[in-house]
Amino acid sequence: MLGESGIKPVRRFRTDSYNSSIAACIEDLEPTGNRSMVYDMLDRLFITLGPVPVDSFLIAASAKAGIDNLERLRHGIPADAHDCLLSHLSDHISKRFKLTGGGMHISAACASSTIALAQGASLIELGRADSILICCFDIVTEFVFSGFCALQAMSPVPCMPFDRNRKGMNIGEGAAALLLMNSEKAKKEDRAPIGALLGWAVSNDATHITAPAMDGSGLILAIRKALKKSKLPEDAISAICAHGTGTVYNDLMELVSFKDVFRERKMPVFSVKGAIGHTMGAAGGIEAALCLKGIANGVVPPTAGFGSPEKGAEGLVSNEPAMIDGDYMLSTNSGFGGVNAAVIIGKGIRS
Amino acid sequence: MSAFITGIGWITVGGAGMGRNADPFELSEGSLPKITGKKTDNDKAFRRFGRLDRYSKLGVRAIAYALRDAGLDAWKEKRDIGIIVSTVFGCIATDIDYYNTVMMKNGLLADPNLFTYTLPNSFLGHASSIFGLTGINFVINDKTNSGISALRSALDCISLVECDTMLAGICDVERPPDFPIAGNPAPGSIFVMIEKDLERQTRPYGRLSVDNSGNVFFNESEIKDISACVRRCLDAKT
Repeated sequence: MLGESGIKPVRRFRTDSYNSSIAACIEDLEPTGNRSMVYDMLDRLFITLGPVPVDSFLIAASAKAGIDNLERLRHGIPADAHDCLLSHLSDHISKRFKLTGGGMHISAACASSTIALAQGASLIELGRADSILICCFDIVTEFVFSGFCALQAMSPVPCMPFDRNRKGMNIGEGAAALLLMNSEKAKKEDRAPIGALLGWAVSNDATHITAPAMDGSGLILAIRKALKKSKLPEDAISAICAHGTGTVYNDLMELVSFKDVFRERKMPVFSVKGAIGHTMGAAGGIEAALCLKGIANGVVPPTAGFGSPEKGAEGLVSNEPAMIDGDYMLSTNSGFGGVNAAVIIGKGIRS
Repeated sequence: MSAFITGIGWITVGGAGMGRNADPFELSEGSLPKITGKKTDNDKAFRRFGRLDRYSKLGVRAIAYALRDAGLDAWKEKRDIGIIVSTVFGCIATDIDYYNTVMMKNGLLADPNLFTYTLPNSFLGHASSIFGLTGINFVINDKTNSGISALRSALDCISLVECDTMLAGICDVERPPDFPIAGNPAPGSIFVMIEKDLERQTRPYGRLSVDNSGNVFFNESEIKDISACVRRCLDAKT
Protein backbone atom coordinates (compact mmCIF):
# COMPACT_ATOMS: atom_id res chain seq x y z
CA MET A 1 0.00 0.00 0.00
CA LEU A 2 3.05 2.26 0.32
CA GLY A 3 3.69 2.18 -3.41
CA GLU A 4 7.11 0.63 -2.92
CA SER A 5 8.62 -1.79 -5.39
CA GLY A 6 10.13 -5.20 -4.70
CA ILE A 7 11.81 -5.20 -8.11
CA LYS A 8 15.55 -5.39 -7.47
CA PRO A 9 18.78 -6.63 -9.07
CA VAL A 10 18.67 -10.36 -9.74
CA ARG A 11 21.21 -12.44 -7.80
CA ARG A 12 19.94 -15.87 -8.78
CA PHE A 13 21.68 -15.97 -12.16
CA ARG A 14 23.97 -13.79 -14.26
CA THR A 15 22.20 -11.04 -16.17
CA ASP A 16 25.12 -9.34 -17.94
CA SER A 17 24.00 -10.68 -21.34
CA TYR A 18 20.51 -9.25 -21.04
CA ASN A 19 18.93 -5.84 -21.52
CA SER A 20 17.51 -5.94 -17.99
CA SER A 21 19.00 -7.06 -14.70
CA ILE A 22 16.04 -6.72 -12.35
CA ALA A 23 13.10 -8.84 -11.18
CA ALA A 24 10.92 -9.28 -8.10
CA CYS A 25 12.52 -12.30 -6.44
CA ILE A 26 11.82 -13.78 -3.02
CA GLU A 27 15.25 -13.22 -1.50
CA ASP A 28 16.10 -16.58 0.03
CA LEU A 29 14.04 -18.93 -2.11
CA GLU A 30 16.08 -22.07 -2.75
CA PRO A 31 15.74 -25.53 -4.20
CA THR A 32 15.54 -28.29 -1.61
CA GLY A 33 17.71 -31.25 -2.64
CA ASN A 34 16.79 -32.19 -6.20
CA ARG A 35 13.43 -30.43 -6.01
CA SER A 36 12.35 -27.24 -7.75
CA MET A 37 12.35 -23.95 -5.85
CA VAL A 38 8.57 -24.05 -6.21
CA TYR A 39 8.36 -26.44 -3.25
CA ASP A 40 10.08 -23.96 -0.95
CA MET A 41 7.63 -21.26 -2.02
CA LEU A 42 4.60 -23.55 -1.58
CA ASP A 43 5.79 -24.66 1.87
CA ARG A 44 5.88 -21.02 2.98
CA LEU A 45 2.47 -20.34 1.45
CA PHE A 46 0.81 -23.30 3.12
CA ILE A 47 1.97 -22.30 6.62
CA THR A 48 -0.55 -19.46 6.51
CA LEU A 49 -3.34 -21.21 4.65
CA GLY A 50 -5.17 -23.02 7.44
CA PRO A 51 -7.16 -26.23 7.10
CA VAL A 52 -8.49 -27.36 3.74
CA PRO A 53 -11.43 -29.82 3.59
CA VAL A 54 -10.06 -33.15 2.36
CA ASP A 55 -12.91 -33.54 -0.12
CA SER A 56 -11.84 -30.36 -1.92
CA PHE A 57 -11.12 -30.52 -5.65
CA LEU A 58 -7.70 -29.04 -6.47
CA ILE A 59 -7.11 -26.72 -9.40
CA ALA A 60 -3.45 -25.77 -9.66
CA ALA A 61 -2.25 -23.17 -12.14
CA SER A 62 1.10 -21.99 -13.43
CA ALA A 63 2.87 -21.13 -16.65
CA LYS A 64 6.45 -22.40 -16.22
CA ALA A 65 6.76 -23.55 -12.60
CA GLY A 66 9.39 -26.23 -12.13
CA ILE A 67 11.39 -25.12 -15.17
CA ASP A 68 14.33 -24.34 -12.84
CA ASN A 69 14.91 -28.09 -12.72
CA LEU A 70 15.28 -28.21 -16.49
CA GLU A 71 17.99 -25.55 -16.15
CA ARG A 72 19.79 -27.53 -13.47
CA LEU A 73 19.64 -30.75 -15.48
CA ARG A 74 21.03 -29.05 -18.60
CA HIS A 75 23.90 -27.75 -16.47
CA GLY A 76 24.57 -31.27 -15.16
CA ILE A 77 23.21 -30.57 -11.68
CA PRO A 78 21.08 -33.37 -10.18
CA ALA A 79 17.38 -32.45 -10.23
CA ASP A 80 14.05 -34.23 -10.49
CA ALA A 81 12.97 -33.93 -14.12
CA HIS A 82 9.37 -34.65 -13.17
CA ASP A 83 9.10 -31.20 -11.60
CA CYS A 84 9.16 -29.87 -15.17
CA LEU A 85 5.78 -31.58 -15.69
CA LEU A 86 3.10 -29.33 -14.25
CA SER A 87 0.86 -32.27 -13.26
CA HIS A 88 3.64 -33.47 -10.94
CA LEU A 89 3.49 -30.27 -8.88
CA SER A 90 -0.28 -30.63 -8.53
CA ASP A 91 0.23 -34.14 -7.13
CA HIS A 92 2.48 -32.70 -4.45
CA ILE A 93 -0.21 -30.25 -3.33
CA SER A 94 -2.89 -32.95 -3.28
CA LYS A 95 -0.70 -35.13 -1.10
CA ARG A 96 0.20 -32.21 1.16
CA PHE A 97 -3.47 -31.66 2.04
CA LYS A 98 -4.48 -35.34 1.70
CA LEU A 99 -7.12 -34.30 -0.82
CA THR A 100 -9.54 -36.98 -2.03
CA GLY A 101 -11.67 -34.88 -4.36
CA GLY A 102 -9.44 -35.12 -7.43
CA GLY A 103 -7.89 -32.25 -9.28
CA MET A 104 -6.25 -30.82 -12.35
CA HIS A 105 -3.57 -28.39 -13.45
CA ILE A 106 -4.41 -25.55 -15.82
CA SER A 107 -1.93 -23.72 -17.99
CA ALA A 108 -2.80 -20.70 -20.11
CA ALA A 109 0.19 -18.38 -19.88
CA CYS A 110 -0.39 -15.30 -17.73
CA ALA A 111 -4.13 -15.97 -17.47
CA SER A 112 -3.60 -19.45 -15.97
CA SER A 113 -4.83 -18.76 -12.45
CA THR A 114 -7.69 -16.48 -13.53
CA ILE A 115 -8.92 -19.38 -15.65
CA ALA A 116 -8.41 -21.71 -12.67
CA LEU A 117 -10.70 -19.47 -10.64
CA ALA A 118 -13.25 -19.47 -13.46
CA GLN A 119 -13.13 -23.24 -13.76
CA GLY A 120 -13.43 -23.65 -9.99
CA ALA A 121 -16.50 -21.44 -9.90
CA SER A 122 -17.94 -23.40 -12.84
CA LEU A 123 -17.50 -26.74 -11.06
CA ILE A 124 -19.30 -25.36 -8.00
CA GLU A 125 -22.09 -23.95 -10.18
CA LEU A 126 -22.48 -27.32 -11.90
CA GLY A 127 -22.74 -29.03 -8.52
CA ARG A 128 -19.67 -31.12 -9.31
CA ALA A 129 -17.83 -29.91 -6.19
CA ASP A 130 -18.64 -28.09 -2.94
CA SER A 131 -15.11 -26.97 -2.18
CA ILE A 132 -12.28 -26.09 -4.55
CA LEU A 133 -8.68 -25.29 -3.63
CA ILE A 134 -7.11 -22.96 -6.19
CA CYS A 135 -3.35 -22.92 -5.93
CA CYS A 136 -1.20 -20.86 -8.29
CA PHE A 137 2.55 -20.37 -8.45
CA ASP A 138 5.43 -19.32 -10.69
CA ILE A 139 9.08 -18.49 -10.11
CA VAL A 140 11.78 -16.30 -11.61
CA THR A 141 14.20 -18.36 -13.70
CA GLU A 142 16.82 -17.54 -16.29
CA PHE A 143 14.71 -19.56 -18.73
CA VAL A 144 11.82 -17.09 -18.54
CA PHE A 145 13.97 -14.00 -17.94
CA SER A 146 16.10 -14.62 -21.04
CA GLY A 147 13.01 -15.23 -23.16
CA PHE A 148 11.29 -11.98 -22.31
CA CYS A 149 14.61 -10.15 -22.80
CA ALA A 150 14.99 -11.80 -26.23
CA LEU A 151 11.51 -10.55 -27.09
CA GLN A 152 12.59 -7.03 -26.02
CA ALA A 153 9.70 -6.99 -23.52
CA MET A 154 11.70 -6.41 -20.31
CA SER A 155 12.21 -3.04 -18.68
CA PRO A 156 15.72 -2.10 -17.50
CA VAL A 157 14.12 -0.04 -14.71
CA PRO A 158 11.27 -1.02 -12.35
CA CYS A 159 8.21 -1.16 -14.55
CA MET A 160 5.76 1.73 -14.83
CA PRO A 161 2.29 0.41 -15.69
CA PHE A 162 0.09 2.89 -17.56
CA ASP A 163 2.85 5.52 -17.51
CA ARG A 164 3.57 7.23 -20.83
CA ASN A 165 7.30 6.61 -20.31
CA ARG A 166 6.98 2.90 -19.56
CA LYS A 167 9.71 0.68 -20.93
CA GLY A 168 8.35 -2.82 -20.52
CA MET A 169 7.70 -5.42 -17.86
CA ASN A 170 9.63 -7.09 -15.05
CA ILE A 171 8.98 -10.64 -14.01
CA GLY A 172 8.29 -11.60 -10.42
CA GLU A 173 7.59 -14.73 -8.44
CA GLY A 174 4.77 -15.59 -6.11
CA ALA A 175 2.04 -17.97 -5.12
CA ALA A 176 -1.50 -17.78 -3.83
CA ALA A 177 -4.08 -20.22 -2.54
CA LEU A 178 -7.80 -19.48 -2.54
CA LEU A 179 -10.48 -21.76 -1.15
CA LEU A 180 -13.80 -21.59 -3.00
CA MET A 181 -16.94 -23.05 -1.44
CA ASN A 182 -20.65 -22.94 -2.08
CA SER A 183 -22.63 -21.31 0.72
CA GLU A 184 -23.84 -24.62 2.19
CA LYS A 185 -20.33 -25.98 2.46
CA ALA A 186 -19.05 -22.72 3.96
CA LYS A 187 -21.77 -22.89 6.62
CA LYS A 188 -21.07 -26.55 7.32
CA GLU A 189 -17.35 -25.83 7.67
CA ASP A 190 -18.13 -22.74 9.76
CA ARG A 191 -16.10 -20.52 7.42
CA ALA A 192 -16.91 -16.84 7.14
CA PRO A 193 -16.77 -15.85 3.44
CA ILE A 194 -14.16 -13.23 2.57
CA GLY A 195 -15.95 -12.45 -0.67
CA ALA A 196 -17.68 -13.99 -3.65
CA LEU A 197 -16.76 -14.83 -7.24
CA LEU A 198 -19.77 -13.56 -9.15
CA GLY A 199 -18.80 -13.53 -12.80
CA TRP A 200 -16.09 -15.01 -14.97
CA ALA A 201 -15.21 -15.46 -18.62
CA VAL A 202 -12.34 -16.38 -20.92
CA SER A 203 -11.80 -15.36 -24.54
CA ASN A 204 -9.20 -15.38 -27.26
CA ASP A 205 -8.11 -12.45 -29.42
CA ALA A 206 -7.75 -14.71 -32.47
CA THR A 207 -5.14 -12.24 -33.69
CA HIS A 208 -1.56 -13.12 -32.73
CA ILE A 209 0.17 -15.41 -30.25
CA THR A 210 2.33 -12.77 -28.53
CA ALA A 211 0.86 -9.36 -29.38
CA PRO A 212 -2.54 -8.32 -28.02
CA ALA A 213 -5.41 -7.31 -30.31
CA MET A 214 -4.98 -3.54 -30.22
CA ASP A 215 -8.73 -2.93 -30.62
CA GLY A 216 -9.16 -4.77 -27.32
CA SER A 217 -11.75 -7.06 -28.90
CA GLY A 218 -10.69 -10.16 -26.96
CA LEU A 219 -10.56 -8.50 -23.55
CA ILE A 220 -13.79 -6.60 -24.21
CA LEU A 221 -15.48 -9.91 -25.02
CA ALA A 222 -14.21 -11.48 -21.77
CA ILE A 223 -15.30 -8.49 -19.64
CA ARG A 224 -18.76 -8.35 -21.23
CA LYS A 225 -19.28 -12.08 -20.78
CA ALA A 226 -18.14 -11.87 -17.13
CA LEU A 227 -20.56 -8.99 -16.49
CA LYS A 228 -23.38 -10.97 -18.11
CA LYS A 229 -22.56 -13.97 -15.95
CA SER A 230 -22.61 -11.81 -12.80
CA LYS A 231 -25.92 -10.20 -13.84
CA LEU A 232 -24.38 -6.87 -12.81
CA PRO A 233 -24.55 -3.67 -14.85
CA GLU A 234 -21.28 -1.99 -15.88
CA ASP A 235 -21.77 0.82 -13.35
CA ALA A 236 -21.80 -1.66 -10.44
CA ILE A 237 -18.04 -2.13 -10.86
CA SER A 238 -16.19 0.18 -8.49
CA ALA A 239 -12.54 -0.57 -9.39
CA ILE A 240 -10.46 -2.55 -11.85
CA CYS A 241 -7.40 -4.62 -11.05
CA ALA A 242 -5.78 -4.46 -14.48
CA HIS A 243 -3.18 -6.81 -15.92
CA GLY A 244 -1.00 -3.69 -16.33
CA THR A 245 2.29 -5.30 -17.30
CA GLY A 246 3.98 -2.03 -18.23
CA THR A 247 4.55 -3.02 -21.86
CA VAL A 248 3.53 -0.44 -24.43
CA TYR A 249 1.02 -2.64 -26.20
CA ASN A 250 -0.61 -4.40 -23.25
CA ASP A 251 -1.40 -1.23 -21.32
CA LEU A 252 -2.74 0.57 -24.40
CA MET A 253 -4.94 -2.39 -25.26
CA GLU A 254 -6.36 -2.46 -21.72
CA LEU A 255 -7.15 1.26 -21.70
CA VAL A 256 -8.97 0.87 -25.03
CA SER A 257 -10.94 -2.08 -23.62
CA PHE A 258 -11.92 -0.38 -20.35
CA LYS A 259 -13.06 2.71 -22.25
CA ASP A 260 -15.16 0.59 -24.58
CA VAL A 261 -16.97 -1.14 -21.72
CA PHE A 262 -17.10 1.58 -19.07
CA ARG A 263 -17.10 4.65 -21.37
CA GLU A 264 -16.04 7.86 -19.60
CA ARG A 265 -16.56 6.59 -16.05
CA LYS A 266 -13.73 7.50 -13.68
CA MET A 267 -12.98 4.68 -11.24
CA PRO A 268 -9.73 3.39 -9.76
CA VAL A 269 -7.72 1.22 -12.17
CA PHE A 270 -4.56 -0.24 -10.69
CA SER A 271 -1.75 -2.67 -11.44
CA VAL A 272 0.36 -4.38 -8.78
CA LYS A 273 3.12 -5.32 -11.22
CA GLY A 274 5.20 -2.24 -10.42
CA ALA A 275 5.37 -3.56 -6.86
CA ILE A 276 5.63 -7.36 -7.14
CA GLY A 277 6.54 -7.81 -10.80
CA HIS A 278 4.64 -9.92 -13.28
CA THR A 279 4.13 -13.22 -11.50
CA MET A 280 3.03 -14.86 -14.76
CA GLY A 281 0.69 -17.82 -14.20
CA ALA A 282 0.21 -16.84 -10.55
CA ALA A 283 -0.75 -13.23 -11.34
CA GLY A 284 -4.52 -13.71 -11.56
CA GLY A 285 -4.76 -15.63 -8.28
CA ILE A 286 -2.61 -13.15 -6.38
CA GLU A 287 -4.57 -10.23 -7.83
CA ALA A 288 -7.92 -11.85 -6.98
CA ALA A 289 -6.74 -12.19 -3.38
CA LEU A 290 -5.78 -8.50 -3.37
CA CYS A 291 -9.21 -7.60 -4.77
CA LEU A 292 -10.89 -9.48 -1.92
CA LYS A 293 -8.83 -7.48 0.54
CA GLY A 294 -9.52 -4.25 -1.35
CA ILE A 295 -13.27 -4.72 -1.31
CA ALA A 296 -13.27 -5.67 2.36
CA ASN A 297 -11.27 -2.56 3.33
CA GLY A 298 -12.74 -0.17 0.77
CA VAL A 299 -9.33 0.76 -0.59
CA VAL A 300 -7.19 -0.42 -3.51
CA PRO A 301 -3.40 -0.34 -3.76
CA PRO A 302 -1.40 2.28 -5.65
CA THR A 303 0.22 1.55 -8.98
CA ALA A 304 3.91 1.60 -8.06
CA GLY A 305 6.07 3.16 -10.76
CA PHE A 306 3.23 5.18 -12.26
CA GLY A 307 3.87 8.91 -12.67
CA SER A 308 2.85 10.46 -15.99
CA PRO A 309 -0.39 9.00 -17.29
CA GLU A 310 -0.61 7.38 -20.69
CA LYS A 311 -3.37 8.92 -22.77
CA GLY A 312 -6.61 7.48 -21.44
CA ALA A 313 -5.21 6.71 -17.98
CA GLU A 314 -5.82 10.20 -16.63
CA GLY A 315 -8.09 10.15 -13.60
CA LEU A 316 -8.07 6.36 -13.48
CA VAL A 317 -4.57 5.26 -12.43
CA SER A 318 -2.74 6.68 -9.40
CA ASN A 319 0.44 6.11 -7.45
CA GLU A 320 -1.55 6.57 -4.24
CA PRO A 321 -4.01 4.15 -2.62
CA ALA A 322 -7.58 4.92 -3.70
CA MET A 323 -10.79 4.65 -1.73
CA ILE A 324 -13.58 2.72 -3.42
CA ASP A 325 -17.27 3.07 -2.86
CA GLY A 326 -18.97 -0.15 -3.92
CA ASP A 327 -19.11 -3.88 -3.56
CA TYR A 328 -17.74 -5.20 -6.86
CA MET A 329 -14.37 -5.24 -8.58
CA LEU A 330 -13.21 -6.48 -11.96
CA SER A 331 -9.87 -8.24 -12.33
CA THR A 332 -8.43 -9.07 -15.76
CA ASN A 333 -5.42 -10.88 -17.19
CA SER A 334 -4.18 -11.48 -20.71
CA GLY A 335 -1.35 -13.60 -22.01
CA PHE A 336 0.57 -15.33 -24.77
CA GLY A 337 -1.65 -17.28 -27.07
CA GLY A 338 -4.05 -14.32 -27.23
CA VAL A 339 -5.88 -15.44 -24.11
CA ASN A 340 -7.92 -13.05 -21.94
CA ALA A 341 -9.70 -13.77 -18.66
CA ALA A 342 -11.93 -11.64 -16.46
CA VAL A 343 -13.42 -12.26 -13.03
CA ILE A 344 -15.84 -10.15 -11.01
CA ILE A 345 -15.35 -10.30 -7.29
CA GLY A 346 -17.93 -9.13 -4.77
CA LYS A 347 -18.14 -8.43 -1.09
CA GLY A 348 -20.49 -11.20 -0.05
CA ILE A 349 -22.60 -14.07 -1.17
CA ARG A 350 -25.73 -13.24 -3.14
CA SER A 351 -28.76 -15.51 -3.13
CA MET B 1 -25.76 -32.37 -20.23
CA SER B 2 -25.11 -33.57 -23.76
CA ALA B 3 -23.88 -32.24 -27.10
CA PHE B 4 -23.06 -33.60 -30.54
CA ILE B 5 -19.72 -34.66 -31.98
CA THR B 6 -19.61 -33.23 -35.49
CA GLY B 7 -15.96 -33.44 -36.48
CA ILE B 8 -12.88 -35.54 -35.77
CA GLY B 9 -9.26 -34.92 -36.77
CA TRP B 10 -6.02 -36.57 -35.79
CA ILE B 11 -2.33 -37.09 -36.40
CA THR B 12 -0.91 -40.19 -34.76
CA VAL B 13 1.84 -42.71 -35.42
CA GLY B 14 -0.59 -44.32 -37.88
CA GLY B 15 -0.91 -41.12 -39.91
CA ALA B 16 -3.23 -38.16 -40.29
CA GLY B 17 -6.94 -38.44 -40.75
CA MET B 18 -10.47 -37.15 -40.55
CA GLY B 19 -13.58 -39.04 -39.52
CA ARG B 20 -15.57 -38.58 -42.72
CA ASN B 21 -12.65 -39.64 -44.92
CA ALA B 22 -12.79 -43.15 -43.46
CA ASP B 23 -9.05 -42.79 -42.72
CA PRO B 24 -7.64 -45.61 -40.57
CA PHE B 25 -7.31 -44.54 -36.93
CA GLU B 26 -4.98 -45.82 -34.26
CA LEU B 27 -3.23 -44.28 -31.25
CA SER B 28 -0.11 -46.28 -30.51
CA GLU B 29 3.54 -45.95 -29.55
CA GLY B 30 6.16 -45.11 -32.16
CA SER B 31 7.30 -42.10 -34.15
CA LEU B 32 4.98 -39.50 -35.57
CA PRO B 33 5.02 -38.74 -39.30
CA LYS B 34 6.55 -35.51 -40.54
CA ILE B 35 4.10 -32.69 -39.92
CA THR B 36 4.00 -30.14 -42.72
CA GLY B 37 1.82 -27.23 -43.71
CA LYS B 38 1.25 -28.46 -47.25
CA LYS B 39 -1.58 -30.48 -48.81
CA THR B 40 -4.27 -28.40 -47.22
CA ASP B 41 -7.35 -26.78 -48.72
CA ASN B 42 -6.52 -23.51 -47.04
CA ASP B 43 -2.84 -22.80 -47.65
CA LYS B 44 -3.15 -19.22 -46.39
CA ALA B 45 -3.85 -20.55 -42.91
CA PHE B 46 -0.53 -22.36 -42.89
CA ARG B 47 1.76 -19.81 -44.49
CA ARG B 48 3.81 -19.33 -41.28
CA PHE B 49 3.63 -22.95 -40.27
CA GLY B 50 7.40 -23.40 -40.51
CA ARG B 51 7.90 -21.08 -37.54
CA LEU B 52 6.04 -23.36 -35.18
CA ASP B 53 7.67 -25.93 -32.94
CA ARG B 54 6.77 -29.57 -33.53
CA TYR B 55 4.28 -29.78 -30.64
CA SER B 56 2.40 -26.77 -31.99
CA LYS B 57 2.44 -28.05 -35.57
CA LEU B 58 0.97 -31.31 -34.35
CA GLY B 59 -1.83 -29.67 -32.40
CA VAL B 60 -2.69 -27.06 -35.03
CA ARG B 61 -2.84 -29.73 -37.75
CA ALA B 62 -5.19 -31.95 -35.72
CA ILE B 63 -7.42 -28.94 -34.96
CA ALA B 64 -7.45 -28.05 -38.67
CA TYR B 65 -8.57 -31.58 -39.56
CA ALA B 66 -11.32 -31.57 -36.93
CA LEU B 67 -12.61 -28.20 -38.15
CA ARG B 68 -12.57 -29.36 -41.76
CA ASP B 69 -14.30 -32.62 -40.87
CA ALA B 70 -17.05 -30.58 -39.18
CA GLY B 71 -17.26 -28.20 -42.14
CA LEU B 72 -16.10 -25.28 -40.01
CA ASP B 73 -12.63 -24.58 -41.42
CA ALA B 74 -13.71 -21.74 -43.73
CA TRP B 75 -14.63 -18.47 -42.03
CA LYS B 76 -15.22 -14.78 -42.68
CA GLU B 77 -16.05 -13.52 -39.20
CA LYS B 78 -14.50 -14.66 -35.93
CA ARG B 79 -16.48 -17.39 -34.16
CA ASP B 80 -17.15 -18.06 -30.46
CA ILE B 81 -15.53 -21.50 -30.54
CA GLY B 82 -13.35 -22.66 -27.62
CA ILE B 83 -10.48 -25.16 -27.39
CA ILE B 84 -9.41 -27.32 -24.45
CA VAL B 85 -6.47 -29.67 -24.77
CA SER B 86 -4.99 -32.24 -22.41
CA THR B 87 -1.27 -32.96 -22.53
CA VAL B 88 1.24 -34.98 -20.51
CA PHE B 89 4.58 -33.57 -21.65
CA GLY B 90 3.28 -30.32 -23.14
CA CYS B 91 6.08 -28.39 -24.83
CA ILE B 92 8.95 -29.89 -22.81
CA ALA B 93 10.85 -30.79 -26.02
CA THR B 94 10.61 -27.14 -27.13
CA ASP B 95 11.70 -26.03 -23.63
CA ILE B 96 14.87 -28.09 -24.04
CA ASP B 97 15.53 -26.70 -27.53
CA TYR B 98 15.02 -23.15 -26.29
CA TYR B 99 17.21 -23.52 -23.23
CA ASN B 100 20.00 -24.91 -25.42
CA THR B 101 20.00 -21.52 -27.18
CA VAL B 102 20.25 -19.77 -23.80
CA MET B 103 23.23 -21.90 -22.76
CA MET B 104 25.26 -21.29 -25.92
CA LYS B 105 26.52 -17.75 -25.12
CA ASN B 106 25.23 -16.99 -21.63
CA GLY B 107 21.86 -15.96 -23.02
CA LEU B 108 23.09 -13.73 -25.85
CA LEU B 109 21.69 -16.14 -28.43
CA ALA B 110 18.39 -16.88 -26.69
CA ASP B 111 15.91 -17.51 -29.51
CA PRO B 112 12.80 -15.31 -29.18
CA ASN B 113 10.81 -17.35 -31.69
CA LEU B 114 11.44 -20.61 -29.83
CA PHE B 115 10.64 -18.91 -26.50
CA THR B 116 7.23 -18.01 -27.90
CA TYR B 117 6.43 -21.72 -28.12
CA THR B 118 7.62 -22.63 -24.62
CA LEU B 119 4.06 -22.37 -23.34
CA PRO B 120 1.81 -25.37 -23.91
CA ASN B 121 -1.09 -23.09 -24.88
CA SER B 122 0.76 -21.14 -27.60
CA PHE B 123 -0.57 -23.39 -30.34
CA LEU B 124 -4.13 -22.78 -29.18
CA GLY B 125 -3.51 -19.10 -29.87
CA HIS B 126 -2.05 -19.90 -33.27
CA ALA B 127 -5.03 -22.09 -34.19
CA SER B 128 -7.41 -19.44 -32.87
CA SER B 129 -5.82 -16.75 -35.02
CA ILE B 130 -5.78 -18.72 -38.28
CA PHE B 131 -9.31 -20.05 -37.83
CA GLY B 132 -10.88 -17.03 -36.06
CA LEU B 133 -11.79 -18.77 -32.80
CA THR B 134 -12.54 -16.38 -29.92
CA GLY B 135 -13.87 -18.79 -27.29
CA ILE B 136 -12.35 -20.01 -24.05
CA ASN B 137 -9.11 -21.94 -24.37
CA PHE B 138 -6.65 -23.51 -21.99
CA VAL B 139 -4.41 -26.52 -21.40
CA ILE B 140 -4.95 -29.25 -18.83
CA ASN B 141 -1.67 -30.82 -17.73
CA ASP B 142 -2.52 -34.46 -17.13
CA LYS B 143 -0.71 -37.59 -15.99
CA THR B 144 -2.13 -39.67 -18.86
CA ASN B 145 -3.24 -38.87 -22.39
CA SER B 146 -6.78 -40.20 -21.90
CA GLY B 147 -8.17 -36.79 -22.79
CA ILE B 148 -11.25 -37.34 -20.64
CA SER B 149 -10.54 -34.17 -18.65
CA ALA B 150 -10.62 -32.12 -21.87
CA LEU B 151 -13.87 -33.72 -23.05
CA ARG B 152 -15.47 -33.18 -19.63
CA SER B 153 -14.35 -29.56 -19.38
CA ALA B 154 -15.56 -28.82 -22.91
CA LEU B 155 -18.99 -30.22 -22.07
CA ASP B 156 -19.00 -28.15 -18.86
CA CYS B 157 -18.27 -25.00 -20.87
CA ILE B 158 -21.20 -25.77 -23.18
CA SER B 159 -23.42 -26.55 -20.21
CA LEU B 160 -22.64 -23.18 -18.61
CA VAL B 161 -23.21 -21.37 -21.92
CA GLU B 162 -19.60 -20.19 -22.04
CA CYS B 163 -19.42 -21.47 -25.63
CA ASP B 164 -21.88 -23.42 -27.77
CA THR B 165 -19.13 -25.02 -29.81
CA MET B 166 -15.91 -26.49 -28.45
CA LEU B 167 -12.87 -28.37 -29.68
CA ALA B 168 -11.49 -30.87 -27.16
CA GLY B 169 -8.49 -33.08 -27.54
CA ILE B 170 -5.04 -34.32 -26.66
CA CYS B 171 -1.59 -33.36 -27.91
CA ASP B 172 1.79 -34.90 -27.16
CA VAL B 173 4.93 -35.39 -29.21
CA GLU B 174 7.34 -38.22 -28.38
CA ARG B 175 9.11 -38.14 -25.01
CA PRO B 176 12.44 -36.30 -25.35
CA PRO B 177 14.98 -39.12 -25.66
CA ASP B 178 17.61 -37.61 -23.40
CA PHE B 179 15.30 -36.37 -20.67
CA PRO B 180 14.87 -38.55 -17.57
CA ILE B 181 11.11 -38.54 -17.09
CA ALA B 182 8.96 -41.59 -16.59
CA GLY B 183 5.98 -42.41 -18.77
CA ASN B 184 5.63 -42.62 -22.50
CA PRO B 185 2.15 -41.72 -23.66
CA ALA B 186 1.40 -42.68 -27.24
CA PRO B 187 2.35 -39.57 -29.21
CA GLY B 188 -0.22 -37.82 -31.33
CA SER B 189 -2.97 -35.29 -31.35
CA ILE B 190 -6.69 -35.94 -31.60
CA PHE B 191 -9.41 -33.30 -31.57
CA VAL B 192 -13.17 -33.64 -31.67
CA MET B 193 -15.62 -30.88 -32.47
CA ILE B 194 -18.49 -30.69 -30.00
CA GLU B 195 -21.62 -28.67 -30.77
CA LYS B 196 -24.59 -27.95 -28.55
CA ASP B 197 -27.12 -27.58 -31.33
CA LEU B 198 -27.35 -28.97 -34.83
CA GLU B 199 -28.32 -25.85 -36.69
CA ARG B 200 -26.10 -26.71 -39.64
CA GLN B 201 -26.58 -29.44 -42.23
CA THR B 202 -23.99 -31.63 -40.56
CA ARG B 203 -24.65 -35.20 -39.66
CA PRO B 204 -23.24 -35.83 -36.17
CA TYR B 205 -21.26 -38.89 -35.19
CA GLY B 206 -23.27 -39.19 -32.01
CA ARG B 207 -24.02 -37.64 -28.68
CA LEU B 208 -21.42 -36.90 -26.00
CA SER B 209 -22.61 -36.39 -22.44
CA VAL B 210 -21.38 -36.00 -18.87
CA ASP B 211 -23.14 -37.06 -15.68
CA ASN B 212 -23.14 -35.33 -12.29
CA SER B 213 -20.08 -37.28 -11.20
CA GLY B 214 -18.08 -36.16 -14.21
CA ASN B 215 -18.21 -39.48 -16.10
CA VAL B 216 -18.25 -39.04 -19.87
CA PHE B 217 -20.49 -41.03 -22.26
CA PHE B 218 -20.75 -41.47 -26.02
CA ASN B 219 -24.25 -42.45 -27.11
CA GLU B 220 -24.99 -43.31 -23.46
CA SER B 221 -22.10 -45.74 -23.15
CA GLU B 222 -19.27 -44.66 -20.82
CA ILE B 223 -15.90 -43.89 -22.40
CA LYS B 224 -12.58 -43.83 -20.58
CA ASP B 225 -10.44 -42.10 -23.19
CA ILE B 226 -10.68 -40.00 -26.31
CA SER B 227 -9.34 -42.71 -28.62
CA ALA B 228 -12.20 -44.99 -27.55
CA CYS B 229 -14.54 -42.10 -28.25
CA VAL B 230 -13.13 -41.70 -31.76
CA ARG B 231 -13.35 -45.43 -32.45
CA ARG B 232 -17.01 -45.46 -31.40
CA CYS B 233 -17.70 -42.41 -33.55
CA LEU B 234 -16.16 -44.15 -36.55
CA ASP B 235 -18.07 -47.36 -35.80
CA ALA B 236 -21.32 -45.40 -35.45
CA LYS B 237 -20.69 -43.79 -38.85
CA THR B 238 -20.38 -47.15 -40.56
